[in-house]
Amino acid sequence: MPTSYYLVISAMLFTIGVLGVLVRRNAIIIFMCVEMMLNAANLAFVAAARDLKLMSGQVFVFFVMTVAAAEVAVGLAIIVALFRNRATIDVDEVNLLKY
Amino acid sequence: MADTLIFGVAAFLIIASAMMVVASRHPIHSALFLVLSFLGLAVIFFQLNAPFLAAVQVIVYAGAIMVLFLFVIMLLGEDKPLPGESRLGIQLPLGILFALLLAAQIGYMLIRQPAGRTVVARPPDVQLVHAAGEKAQYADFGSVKALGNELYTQYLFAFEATSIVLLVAMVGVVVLAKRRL
Repeated sequence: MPTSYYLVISAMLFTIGVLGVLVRRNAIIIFMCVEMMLNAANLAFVAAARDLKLMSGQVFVFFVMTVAAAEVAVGLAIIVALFRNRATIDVDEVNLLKY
Repeated sequence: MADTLIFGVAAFLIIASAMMVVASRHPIHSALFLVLSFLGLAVIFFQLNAPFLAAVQVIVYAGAIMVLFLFVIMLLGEDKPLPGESRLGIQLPLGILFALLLAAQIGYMLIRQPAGRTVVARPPDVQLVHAAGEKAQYADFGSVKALGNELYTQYLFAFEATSIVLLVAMVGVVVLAKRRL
Protein backbone atom coordinates (compact mmCIF):
# COMPACT_ATOMS: atom_id res chain seq x y z
CA MET A 1 0.00 0.00 0.00
CA PRO A 2 1.35 3.49 -0.82
CA THR A 3 2.33 5.66 2.13
CA SER A 4 -0.16 8.36 1.14
CA TYR A 5 -3.11 6.08 2.03
CA TYR A 6 -1.84 5.78 5.59
CA LEU A 7 -1.29 9.53 5.79
CA VAL A 8 -4.88 10.13 4.67
CA ILE A 9 -6.15 7.81 7.43
CA SER A 10 -3.90 9.64 9.89
CA ALA A 11 -5.25 13.04 8.76
CA MET A 12 -8.86 11.85 9.06
CA LEU A 13 -8.26 10.45 12.52
CA PHE A 14 -6.60 13.67 13.65
CA THR A 15 -9.46 15.77 12.29
CA ILE A 16 -12.05 13.62 14.06
CA GLY A 17 -10.07 14.07 17.27
CA VAL A 18 -10.05 17.85 16.83
CA LEU A 19 -13.78 17.77 16.13
CA GLY A 20 -14.38 15.80 19.30
CA VAL A 21 -12.39 18.27 21.40
CA LEU A 22 -14.37 21.14 19.87
CA VAL A 23 -17.91 19.78 20.14
CA ARG A 24 -17.91 17.61 23.27
CA ARG A 25 -18.12 19.04 26.78
CA ASN A 26 -17.41 15.93 28.82
CA ALA A 27 -13.80 16.17 30.08
CA ILE A 28 -13.21 12.42 29.78
CA ILE A 29 -14.39 12.30 26.17
CA ILE A 30 -12.26 15.36 25.33
CA PHE A 31 -9.35 13.48 26.82
CA MET A 32 -10.09 10.41 24.69
CA CYS A 33 -10.10 12.62 21.60
CA VAL A 34 -6.65 13.93 22.56
CA GLU A 35 -5.47 10.32 22.73
CA MET A 36 -6.96 9.80 19.28
CA MET A 37 -4.92 12.72 17.92
CA LEU A 38 -1.75 11.30 19.46
CA ASN A 39 -2.52 8.02 17.73
CA ALA A 40 -3.00 9.80 14.42
CA ALA A 41 0.47 11.29 14.85
CA ASN A 42 1.81 7.82 15.68
CA LEU A 43 0.33 6.43 12.49
CA ALA A 44 1.97 9.20 10.45
CA PHE A 45 5.29 8.46 12.19
CA VAL A 46 5.14 4.73 11.42
CA ALA A 47 4.10 5.35 7.81
CA ALA A 48 6.97 7.81 7.33
CA ALA A 49 9.39 5.40 9.00
CA ARG A 50 8.52 2.72 6.47
CA ASP A 51 8.65 5.21 3.61
CA LEU A 52 12.14 6.47 4.52
CA LYS A 53 13.38 3.08 5.79
CA LEU A 54 14.44 4.72 9.06
CA MET A 55 13.84 3.05 12.41
CA SER A 56 13.86 6.44 14.18
CA GLY A 57 10.19 6.93 13.33
CA GLN A 58 9.22 3.80 15.24
CA VAL A 59 11.41 4.83 18.19
CA PHE A 60 9.59 8.17 18.30
CA VAL A 61 6.26 6.35 18.40
CA PHE A 62 7.59 4.41 21.38
CA PHE A 63 8.35 7.70 23.17
CA VAL A 64 4.98 9.20 22.22
CA MET A 65 3.27 6.18 23.74
CA THR A 66 5.24 6.58 26.98
CA VAL A 67 4.39 10.26 27.24
CA ALA A 68 0.75 9.48 26.43
CA ALA A 69 0.62 6.94 29.25
CA ALA A 70 2.05 9.49 31.72
CA GLU A 71 -0.33 12.13 30.40
CA VAL A 72 -3.37 9.89 30.82
CA ALA A 73 -2.42 9.12 34.42
CA VAL A 74 -1.98 12.80 35.32
CA GLY A 75 -5.02 13.95 33.34
CA LEU A 76 -7.37 11.39 34.86
CA ALA A 77 -6.08 12.29 38.33
CA ILE A 78 -6.91 15.93 37.57
CA ILE A 79 -10.40 14.90 36.39
CA VAL A 80 -10.97 12.89 39.59
CA ALA A 81 -9.79 15.83 41.73
CA LEU A 82 -12.06 18.13 39.72
CA PHE A 83 -15.05 15.86 40.20
CA ARG A 84 -14.33 15.70 43.92
CA ASN A 85 -14.32 19.51 44.23
CA ARG A 86 -17.05 20.53 41.78
CA ALA A 87 -19.15 17.34 41.37
CA THR A 88 -19.05 17.78 37.60
CA ILE A 89 -16.71 17.06 34.70
CA ASP A 90 -18.55 19.29 32.23
CA VAL A 91 -15.87 21.68 31.02
CA ASP A 92 -18.40 24.53 30.63
CA GLU A 93 -19.09 24.36 34.35
CA VAL A 94 -15.40 24.64 35.18
CA ASN A 95 -14.69 28.21 34.15
CA LEU A 96 -13.04 29.85 37.17
CA LEU A 97 -9.87 30.55 35.17
CA LYS A 98 -11.90 32.26 32.46
CA TYR A 99 -12.57 35.49 34.38
CA MET B 1 -5.10 -8.14 -2.82
CA ALA B 2 -5.29 -9.46 0.73
CA ASP B 3 -3.18 -6.48 1.74
CA THR B 4 -5.69 -4.06 0.28
CA LEU B 5 -8.59 -5.88 1.90
CA ILE B 6 -6.96 -5.82 5.34
CA PHE B 7 -6.11 -2.16 4.94
CA GLY B 8 -9.66 -1.32 3.87
CA VAL B 9 -11.29 -3.16 6.75
CA ALA B 10 -8.86 -1.72 9.32
CA ALA B 11 -9.19 1.82 7.93
CA PHE B 12 -12.99 1.59 7.99
CA LEU B 13 -12.85 0.26 11.56
CA ILE B 14 -10.56 3.10 12.68
CA ILE B 15 -12.54 5.93 11.10
CA ALA B 16 -16.02 4.58 11.88
CA SER B 17 -15.27 3.88 15.53
CA ALA B 18 -13.44 7.21 15.89
CA MET B 19 -16.61 8.92 14.67
CA MET B 20 -18.66 6.90 17.14
CA VAL B 21 -16.35 8.05 19.96
CA VAL B 22 -17.33 11.64 19.17
CA ALA B 23 -20.98 10.88 18.43
CA SER B 24 -22.09 8.59 21.27
CA ARG B 25 -23.73 10.21 24.26
CA HIS B 26 -22.53 7.62 26.69
CA PRO B 27 -18.88 7.92 27.94
CA ILE B 28 -18.54 4.14 28.29
CA HIS B 29 -19.64 3.60 24.68
CA SER B 30 -17.08 6.20 23.64
CA ALA B 31 -14.33 4.38 25.54
CA LEU B 32 -15.23 1.00 24.01
CA PHE B 33 -15.32 2.46 20.49
CA LEU B 34 -11.92 4.00 21.16
CA VAL B 35 -10.59 0.53 22.04
CA LEU B 36 -11.92 -0.70 18.68
CA SER B 37 -10.20 2.19 16.93
CA PHE B 38 -6.89 1.38 18.65
CA LEU B 39 -7.18 -2.28 17.63
CA GLY B 40 -7.64 -1.19 14.02
CA LEU B 41 -4.51 0.94 14.35
CA ALA B 42 -2.61 -2.09 15.67
CA VAL B 43 -3.57 -3.98 12.48
CA ILE B 44 -2.29 -1.05 10.40
CA PHE B 45 0.96 -1.05 12.40
CA PHE B 46 1.43 -4.73 11.56
CA GLN B 47 0.96 -3.89 7.92
CA LEU B 48 3.56 -1.12 8.18
CA ASN B 49 6.34 -3.47 9.40
CA ALA B 50 6.00 -2.47 13.04
CA PRO B 51 5.04 -5.68 14.90
CA PHE B 52 6.49 -4.48 18.22
CA LEU B 53 4.52 -1.24 18.10
CA ALA B 54 1.38 -3.20 17.17
CA ALA B 55 1.83 -5.34 20.28
CA VAL B 56 2.50 -2.27 22.44
CA GLN B 57 -0.54 -0.58 20.93
CA VAL B 58 -2.76 -3.47 22.04
CA ILE B 59 -1.12 -3.99 25.45
CA VAL B 60 -0.56 -0.37 26.53
CA TYR B 61 -3.23 1.60 24.66
CA ALA B 62 -6.14 -0.79 24.20
CA GLY B 63 -5.24 -2.53 27.44
CA ALA B 64 -3.78 -0.38 30.19
CA ILE B 65 -4.79 3.15 29.15
CA MET B 66 -8.36 2.28 28.23
CA VAL B 67 -8.84 0.24 31.41
CA LEU B 68 -7.74 3.37 33.30
CA PHE B 69 -10.32 5.42 31.36
CA LEU B 70 -13.10 2.93 32.04
CA PHE B 71 -12.08 2.75 35.70
CA VAL B 72 -12.36 6.53 36.09
CA ILE B 73 -15.69 6.64 34.22
CA MET B 74 -17.11 3.99 36.54
CA LEU B 75 -15.55 5.64 39.59
CA LEU B 76 -17.18 8.99 38.84
CA GLY B 77 -20.50 7.29 38.20
CA GLU B 78 -20.88 9.00 34.85
CA ASP B 79 -22.99 6.11 33.65
CA LYS B 80 -25.60 8.40 32.13
CA PRO B 81 -25.21 11.24 29.65
CA LEU B 82 -24.46 14.55 31.29
CA PRO B 83 -27.55 16.75 31.45
CA GLY B 84 -25.61 19.78 30.24
CA GLU B 85 -24.21 18.16 27.12
CA SER B 86 -26.95 19.27 24.75
CA ARG B 87 -26.75 23.04 25.24
CA LEU B 88 -23.93 23.66 22.81
CA GLY B 89 -25.61 26.37 20.76
CA ILE B 90 -23.30 28.07 18.29
CA GLN B 91 -20.32 25.90 19.31
CA LEU B 92 -21.53 22.83 17.44
CA PRO B 93 -21.72 24.32 13.89
CA LEU B 94 -18.60 26.39 14.55
CA GLY B 95 -16.69 23.33 15.77
CA ILE B 96 -17.71 21.32 12.70
CA LEU B 97 -16.79 24.25 10.45
CA PHE B 98 -13.31 24.61 11.92
CA ALA B 99 -12.71 20.86 11.89
CA LEU B 100 -13.62 20.80 8.18
CA LEU B 101 -11.31 23.77 7.63
CA LEU B 102 -8.47 21.86 9.31
CA ALA B 103 -9.28 18.79 7.20
CA ALA B 104 -9.09 20.95 4.07
CA GLN B 105 -5.74 22.36 5.13
CA ILE B 106 -4.26 18.91 5.84
CA GLY B 107 -5.71 17.61 2.59
CA TYR B 108 -4.15 20.49 0.69
CA MET B 109 -0.78 19.76 2.30
CA LEU B 110 -1.07 16.09 1.30
CA ILE B 111 -1.98 16.61 -2.37
CA ARG B 112 0.15 19.70 -2.96
CA GLN B 113 2.95 19.12 -5.46
CA PRO B 114 5.76 21.62 -4.89
CA ALA B 115 7.12 23.26 -8.05
CA GLY B 116 10.55 21.65 -7.79
CA ARG B 117 9.69 18.51 -5.87
CA THR B 118 12.43 18.36 -3.25
CA VAL B 119 13.31 15.23 -1.38
CA VAL B 120 14.07 15.83 2.27
CA ALA B 121 17.80 15.33 2.70
CA ARG B 122 18.77 12.78 5.28
CA PRO B 123 21.50 13.61 7.79
CA PRO B 124 24.89 12.51 6.42
CA ASP B 125 25.62 10.02 9.20
CA VAL B 126 22.40 8.15 8.51
CA GLN B 127 23.27 8.02 4.83
CA LEU B 128 26.67 6.59 5.72
CA VAL B 129 25.16 3.89 7.88
CA HIS B 130 22.74 3.02 5.12
CA ALA B 131 25.44 2.92 2.47
CA ALA B 132 27.54 0.58 4.60
CA GLY B 133 24.99 -1.96 5.74
CA GLU B 134 22.11 -1.23 3.40
CA LYS B 135 21.12 -4.81 2.71
CA ALA B 136 21.45 -5.93 6.32
CA GLN B 137 19.56 -2.98 7.71
CA TYR B 138 16.71 -3.22 5.22
CA ALA B 139 16.30 -6.95 5.66
CA ASP B 140 15.23 -6.72 9.29
CA PHE B 141 13.56 -3.30 9.08
CA GLY B 142 10.82 -3.06 11.66
CA SER B 143 11.87 -6.10 13.65
CA VAL B 144 12.08 -5.93 17.42
CA LYS B 145 15.83 -6.39 17.11
CA ALA B 146 16.23 -3.38 14.83
CA LEU B 147 14.03 -1.24 17.08
CA GLY B 148 15.93 -2.26 20.22
CA ASN B 149 19.24 -1.62 18.48
CA GLU B 150 18.17 1.92 17.63
CA LEU B 151 16.54 2.53 21.02
CA TYR B 152 19.46 1.40 23.18
CA THR B 153 22.25 2.99 21.15
CA GLN B 154 21.24 6.20 19.42
CA TYR B 155 18.30 7.06 21.72
CA LEU B 156 19.66 5.75 25.00
CA PHE B 157 19.61 9.13 26.73
CA ALA B 158 16.04 9.83 25.63
CA PHE B 159 15.08 6.37 26.83
CA GLU B 160 16.54 7.08 30.27
CA ALA B 161 14.87 10.51 30.34
CA THR B 162 11.56 8.75 29.68
CA SER B 163 11.88 6.95 33.00
CA ILE B 164 12.16 10.35 34.72
CA VAL B 165 8.98 11.44 32.90
CA LEU B 166 7.16 8.39 34.22
CA LEU B 167 8.49 8.94 37.74
CA VAL B 168 7.39 12.60 37.73
CA ALA B 169 3.96 11.59 36.41
CA MET B 170 3.65 9.00 39.16
CA VAL B 171 4.56 11.50 41.90
CA GLY B 172 2.19 14.05 40.35
CA VAL B 173 -0.69 11.59 40.33
CA VAL B 174 -0.13 10.70 43.98
CA VAL B 175 -0.06 14.40 44.94
CA LEU B 176 -3.22 15.11 42.92
CA ALA B 177 -5.17 12.12 44.15
CA LYS B 178 -4.44 12.52 47.85
CA ARG B 179 -7.02 14.58 49.70
CA ARG B 180 -4.34 16.11 51.90
CA LEU B 181 -0.67 15.32 52.15
